[in-house]
This record gives sequence, structure tokens and C-alpha cells, in this order.
Amino acid sequence: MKKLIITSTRTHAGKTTIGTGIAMNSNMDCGYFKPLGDRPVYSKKALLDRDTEVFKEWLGLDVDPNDCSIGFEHEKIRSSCQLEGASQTLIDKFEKVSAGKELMIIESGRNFTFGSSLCMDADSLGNTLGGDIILVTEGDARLIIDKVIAAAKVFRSTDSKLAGVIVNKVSEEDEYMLDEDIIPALDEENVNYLGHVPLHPELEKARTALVVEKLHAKLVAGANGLDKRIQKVMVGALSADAALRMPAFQNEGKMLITGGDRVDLILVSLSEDTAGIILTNNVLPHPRILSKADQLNVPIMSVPMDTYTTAKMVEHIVAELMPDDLEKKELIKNLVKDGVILDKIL
Amino acid sequence: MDTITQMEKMFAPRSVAIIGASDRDGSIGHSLVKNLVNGGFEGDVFPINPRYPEVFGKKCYGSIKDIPIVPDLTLLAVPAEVSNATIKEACEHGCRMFINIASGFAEVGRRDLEWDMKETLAEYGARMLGPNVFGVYSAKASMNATFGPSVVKPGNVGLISQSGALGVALMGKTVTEGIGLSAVVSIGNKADISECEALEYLGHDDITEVIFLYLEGAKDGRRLMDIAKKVSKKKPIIAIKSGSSEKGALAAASHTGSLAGSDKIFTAALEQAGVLRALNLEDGFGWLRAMADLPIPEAEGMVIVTNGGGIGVISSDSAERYRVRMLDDTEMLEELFRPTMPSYGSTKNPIDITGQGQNKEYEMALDIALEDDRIPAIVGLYCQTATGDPTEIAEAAISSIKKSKKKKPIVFSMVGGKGIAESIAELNLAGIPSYASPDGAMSAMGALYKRYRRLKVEDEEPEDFQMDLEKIKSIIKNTWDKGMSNLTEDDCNLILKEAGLTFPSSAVAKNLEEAKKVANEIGYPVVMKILSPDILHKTEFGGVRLDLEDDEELEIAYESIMATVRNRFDKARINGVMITSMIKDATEMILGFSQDPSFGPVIMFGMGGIYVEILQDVAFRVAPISRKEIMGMIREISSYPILAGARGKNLRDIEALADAISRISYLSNHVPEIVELDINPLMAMDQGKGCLVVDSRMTIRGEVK
Repeated sequence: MKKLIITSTRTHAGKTTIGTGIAMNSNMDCGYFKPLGDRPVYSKKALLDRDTEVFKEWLGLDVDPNDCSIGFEHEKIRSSCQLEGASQTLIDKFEKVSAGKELMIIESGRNFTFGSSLCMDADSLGNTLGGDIILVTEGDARLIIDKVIAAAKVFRSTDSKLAGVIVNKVSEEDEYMLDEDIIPALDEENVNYLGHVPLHPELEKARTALVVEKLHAKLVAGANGLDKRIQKVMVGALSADAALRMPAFQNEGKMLITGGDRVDLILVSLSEDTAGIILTNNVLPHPRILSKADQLNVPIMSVPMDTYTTAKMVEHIVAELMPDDLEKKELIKNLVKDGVILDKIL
Repeated sequence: MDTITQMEKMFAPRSVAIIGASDRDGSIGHSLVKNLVNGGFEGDVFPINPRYPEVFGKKCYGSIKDIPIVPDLTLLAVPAEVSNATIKEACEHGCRMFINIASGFAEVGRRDLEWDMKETLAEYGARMLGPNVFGVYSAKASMNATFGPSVVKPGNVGLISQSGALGVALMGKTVTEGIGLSAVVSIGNKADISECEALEYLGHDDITEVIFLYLEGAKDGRRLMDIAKKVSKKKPIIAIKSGSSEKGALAAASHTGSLAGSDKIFTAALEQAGVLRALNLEDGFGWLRAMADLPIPEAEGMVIVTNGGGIGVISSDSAERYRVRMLDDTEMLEELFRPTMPSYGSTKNPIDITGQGQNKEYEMALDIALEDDRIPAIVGLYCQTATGDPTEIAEAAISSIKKSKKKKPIVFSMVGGKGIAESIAELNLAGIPSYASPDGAMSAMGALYKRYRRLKVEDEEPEDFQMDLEKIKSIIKNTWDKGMSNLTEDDCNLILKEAGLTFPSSAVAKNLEEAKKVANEIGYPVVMKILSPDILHKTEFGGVRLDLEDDEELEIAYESIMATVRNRFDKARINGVMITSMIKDATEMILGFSQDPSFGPVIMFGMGGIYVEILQDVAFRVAPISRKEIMGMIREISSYPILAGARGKNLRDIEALADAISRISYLSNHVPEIVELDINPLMAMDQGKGCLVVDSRMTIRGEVK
């Protein structure tokens, strides 16, 4: 059985993107294990990791998501593993989900150090479960080089096997850095370069449903439009006339954040290409407006926060992968196939 | 000098000076002098303008200093820019009461000019109405100091208008409608004198029996409410307040703030003060006529006398809408009214004398209704027929009223074509308020009954409570001093406990092990909530888990809260979790208040839970409120039957809810540092089991002196 431990230099670097991409291109019977969850979804008194759901759905895994992880919180994991010890729990769970598999994707916590106190960081996973470590990185060239070298030192010190580095989210204008800076620096440190995945704007865009979930917003209209992808978030502070003169306001997939009493702005935003309207301060507009939004499939959601707080919260929403987002699934499969040197990995 | 004495100079002056008087016909300075003279003002009139030797036959003076006496009232018809200097000069001469007609002040952004005038007025202890007004009419002094209509019918209605144009139009309308006026005041920009002083004076004025108020907003809502409360005990006040759309809804973080649009607060305040709020001019004038011409009913119950079944039914529907109770003693009605109609007529209220009913039958039916003491009020309806003559019906009604020695309210509505308008006018002139639609007539009767109920209610003092206000204020100060404007749930609960509200069993746990221990002590099922000073909206941040039934569910909930909150807001300071017993069999209510800049604390109570903004089933009152008002507030919400045990459900503890509202009213009135409070949900338990605070949120401000 081939075991790949996917870790990263920092959080949200794209571990799940790379993991699913490799698995989908492997033509092998795959399994997934993520001992430390970090994308919690609480529903019907059960706690699952969203990434597990993505793997299960995209790869058609026949697995109980509860078996794919040990927990989310250090305190809870320590408490639940105290009898048999965290390492033993790790091994037991892994054996259960990996039975009969040809390839196991093992995803670490937020970054390569996360979970050290529980012996569940990337290095410990390599030592306990065995397998090749793939380090996913992104960002500025100097930071990438510094962090990769630091990580490589850690892995070498314990004889963990670092298979190499994949650079994620590389913009077209930054591609030159790969050849000029990053690859030579990795060569110098004897770290394998395993390819890169370009920055694709569609991967950075969330769907309206995710915003409703993340804000715990009350959806008051337009439930049929939740699949829309958000291209641009705007705070509705201008008058309707001024907003209409803004080119950005004409964008398809705009999401507007404004107060429920800004009837003028809400009305001019009600078009089929609007991804959603977030109404702040719990103020709702007239039911006729909600009915119009229903007709046009424009999701309208209400939150109790003020506009500033809401805008900050929306800004921090990361466009996570969702199990039912099949457009992203295909996109990732192709991007990884084209950019990652799969022969060196599988 | 008290307000009434000061206002006496404006409403009953012995002499009036007009600075800016003009000889030019059609100008404001000319109209003011003309209306004063033609209106029959018996005091001295002093036109002032250096350009003219005389204006409208009166000697014109070059300066205020030139007139031989100090006038009681000085009218200013000079440009905005010179208003302040003119007032100063007049004050130097001894003038202390002004009406500033000029415009060009705050309404066009020149608030600075008003500030200058206010400084001058304060320096000399003088008062001013306006600027941007059309003047004052006072029947008492036969004074028409306006540039509005020159002909005004004296009477018993006092009119206060914030809008100049509408005020002039309303004056004109009273003339055509035959409504007599005791006084008209245009309050304009309210730089000094506002509706408060005008209302206080007209409340005191002997000849004013009804007051009509048109407002666009109130600078000091609380004062207006206090004055209106006193005045409405003596005479009816009808108010139209424009801007009732939801555009003015407050932007606030709480449910209370967002639901309490300024108009809802205004409406609640006017209701509490006993003011009759009309939603449109038609209703307002309809009520005005009824209040000015009719006595208030002496008991509940009204009969409709009609010649058409259709308008009878329409009116019955209106009666229900306007809360006018229809008499339903069928035996009595049969005995009284059978002789007035053919055999196929109906004596069930509405009394249908049928299309055959002519003036004779109407007069007979109205005579009976007027004379029988068991009938407190009458609505007469006439539907034009091929054979009937509306003029004769109107005459029959007038004859009936003239004959009767009984004082009871009767309104009329006539529907049809030719001759109807003339007949309505005839009835109105005879003092029988008449309307072109049955709904208008019933709306007026509804207003009379509203007034009847208002007079029946005896004022009750709000309850007094023993609360450690120092302790409450020190909790608030501690939070404020840390630079925070929202209390933690712990502190919020401490304050509410001090206020005497009750809570489900709960305890704070700093970690998972403590949480399990606490939950077992309290007993499952429990609720878990994050405790963090950085997270005000716990639910929205994924910080609340409900109905946890055992240790296993509790562990998962704990982990999910911590993971979700850290995932969403990794800088949040987390102090642990609150474990509370889960309340299941109860009705979720909301109770809160917000500090309105004009009215002060406004209490909100209604159906709670997560759909509070969607259902909007809430009632508002300006604090403090008495037990009687609180019970009215509880009964006002549409969901009241649920609390009262509708459809076989358990009766909820309404007394406990009333007690909680009363305590929150006391708290809001004594601790102005609390800007907003939301208790949602407040669980209404079965009767005798109280009500419990499950979640609350409090926003504060610094110490209020």
C-alpha cells in the first residue's frame, strides 16, 4: 500500500486540493485519513470534517467519516485517548480505514507542526504510520524557500521521508520564480520539486451556500440560488443611483452586504445574476421584495451583526471545497494532472 | 414665568408689531397686517418698515424703537440673514415674544442662523415660534396673525401643524368643512417653541375642546408624551404623524433595536399618552368632526340604522375593525324597531328598514334609537334609492336630533349620486358628522369609543422594586472601563438576576471535564454556550449547542464549539462554556428595550425565538409602564392566545411575564447606561412556574449623569 502524507507550510495552502487531485489521477483504490480535523461540520449532534466528506463524495469512498479522524480539539483528543495513548489510537483507526486499499492519502492538521503535542504532526505521522511526506506550499518565493528548508530539516532529523514539494496557487506572473528561485534553492537542499498548481480564480470563489453556513445566516428568500458562485463582494453604502454607476455593480455573481432598510439598493440588486444579498442588523425588507427575490432565485439572508462586522466575517470565509461542487472536482483533477509530476509520487 | 403665561402673549396678545410689514399686496408682510386687521383683532397693530408711512391703513413705524409701547407679540417678516439682528434690537426695546415667519434656516442647511437666534433669545429670556412658520390664529383674541386664509370660522378645534403648507391647507379645509377653529399654530423649524408648548397651552385653553396635531417628528418625544398624557385626560388629541414607513428603522445590533422602527415607538408613545393617531387626513378630519360635535358615548354598544343590507354588512365589518361593539340583544331590538319597517325588514343589528324606508321610517327609527337609554350610540346609513330623496332623509335625521333631549353620539353615512353631497353638507352643518363612506362613519365612531375607553382608564403608577442599582452600575462601569460596550453573558446574567429575573440552572465550566461534571450536577438535557467577551452573536459564530442528552453528546458539542469558534475567529478569548439546563415545554418570548434618543427607554415584548424579525409579533411601550399597561401590552400581541392556552395547550404564566416586563421597565428607567437589552428567548412556563431567561445580550455606554 502506498501512503502519502500531505502536509503544508501554512494553513489553507491547499492540502485537500492536492490530495484529492493526486487520488483522482492515481487510478488506484484510495482511502483517506485525517487524524486531526480542522473543518468542523456539526449536524444532528455529530461532528464531521468537511474534507472527509469531500474525499468520500469525490472518490466514492465507502467509509464512515467518523473513522477517518480522531478529533478536532487537543483537549478532547487527550481526554479520549488517555487510556490507550494517542499513537495507538492513531494506528488502530488508520488500520481500520486503510484495510485493502492501494493508496492512502493521509492529511495532516493545519500545517506541518500542528498536532505536535499529540504526536499527530506531519513528522510524527510519518514515523508512526510510515509513508512519503508531500509538502504543499504557497506564497512569496522567499517565504516558500525558508519554510520548506525549515520543514526539511525537521523531517531529516527524524528520518521521515520527505518525497518533495508541490507549489500551489502560482499565478501566471509568478511562474518565473519557480525556475529562477524556488527550484534551484530546493535542488541545493536536495529537496525534490514535484510540480506546481496554477492559481485558478474559480477555485478561490465560494458559493452562496457556504456563506449562509459560515455566517449561520437566516435564509429568508431565494433558496434555489444557493449554488451561485460569488465573484465579487460589495458593501452597500452608496445610494442606488451611485451604485448603478459603478462598473463593479454590474458584475455577474455579486454579493451585496447592506441593511434591510436599504430598499433602494436591494431593489436594484435584484437580478438573476446576483449571487446573494446579506441583510445586516436583523432588519428585513417588505415581503414583496422577498417574494421577488424568490422569483429571481436571489438568495437573501439575514444576520444580526452590523455591516462592518459582517463584511469582516465574509472576507475571512475561505472558499473551501464542498462535496457537491463537481465543477471544482473536475477542475482540480485537470490542474493536478497538468501541473504535478505524478510519476515521481505514485 | 411659566409656559402658559408665556404662551398667553402669543395666543392672546394686547398688541402686535409686524417687522417687515409691506404695502405690496400679495407679500407676506402685507398679508399679515391685512389678516390681523380684517380678522377683527381688537388690540394695537404696529406695522414696522422704514419704507412706508402706512400699511393697510395703519401707521407704519421706521423701527421697533419708534413705537410708543412694548408690544406683547412681535411678528418677523424679514430675511433670514437679518433675523437675529432684528430680534436683538426688539429685545433691547423690551419685546419678549416673537413669531418668525421667515424661511431660509435649518430647512436649507443654515442651522447656524438658528443657533445665533437661540443665543439671543436665551440672553434676554425671550421666546420665539418658528422660523419657517405661517403664523398663529387665535379665536380668543380674534387674531389672525398668519399669511394663510383670511376667513376663519371660530370654534372649538385647536390645530397645531409642523408643516406650513399643510397647515394653511388644513385651515382652508376647516372653512369648507364648516369646522370651527379655536387656534392654529404653525411650529415650523421649532428652533425654540415646539409642539410641546403649543399643546400645553391649548390643553389649558378654555375654548379649545379638541386638538388636531400634525407632526413630522418630535425633538423631545418624552416631554411631548408627558404633556399629551395630561392634556388627553381633559380633551381629545388627534394626531397625524408622517413618515410611518419602515425607512426610519434603527440600525442596531439587537432584535429590539431593529424591530423598534422610530414610527413604531412614536405610535406606542402616542397610544400610551391617550392620543388618537389617524393614519391619513381623511380619518383625521372625520374624527375631528365627530370629537368637535358629539358627546362621548356613555357605554359600549351601538346600533346601525340602514335602508340597505349591503352597506349594513360593510359597516358591520368596519365596526369589528374599529372595535365598535354592536348591540346584540335581539329581543330588545325586535321590540323597539319592528314598527319602523315592513315585515321583511330585519331588526337584528344592523336595523334594516329596507329600501322602502323613507324619511318617515328613518325619523321613527332614529327617534327610538335616540330615546332608548339602552342604546348608547347610533350609526345612520342611507343608500340612495330610486324613490327616496336624500335631502328629506337628512332633514328627517336633523329633526330627530333636534327633538331629542338625550345626548348621545350619532354619525351618518350617505352613499349615492345626485343630492348626496348636499345632504351630507346639510347634516354636517346641523352638527351630525356625516361621511361619504360607511367606513368613514364607523372609523369616527371607533375614535369616539377609543376616547370613551381612554377616559375610563384610571392612571396607575409603575411598580417600584428593590434593586441594587449601585452594584448593577459598577458591573457596567467595569466593562466600559475595559473598553468594551457589550457585557459578557456572565455579567449580563448577574445584572438580570439583580433585577429579579429568573434563570434555568446553569454553571460555568472552564474545560471539558468541568463541563461534564457540571452537566451531571444540573441534569441532562443541557445547553452549552461559548463564553467569550469577543463573541456577541454566539449562535452565528457556532457557539451554541442545544439539547445535549448525555456525556457523549456533550463531548462532541464541546469539541465542535471550540473547533468552530477557533476556525472562524482564532483570536477570540475563550473563558470556557456555560452549561444550562435545557427548557423544553415552554413558549419562547422576547423581552428587551432600547434607548430611543427622543423618548428614552422603549420596552419591547413579543414572540421570541429565531424568527422574531420575520414574525414581528411584538408590542412597544415607552418606559416606565404600570402593571395595567403591561397587561395591555401582553394582550396586544397576535400570539396572545397561545399564552392564554389556545387549542387546549397549557396556560402560560402571564403574571410572571408581567412581572419580568415590569422589572425590565424599572431597570431601563433607572440604569440609562444600558443602551440595549435583548432577552431572547424568555421562556414562558406553565402557569405558576414562572418565566426563565435563556439568552440575553446587553449593550452599554459610559456613565450617564
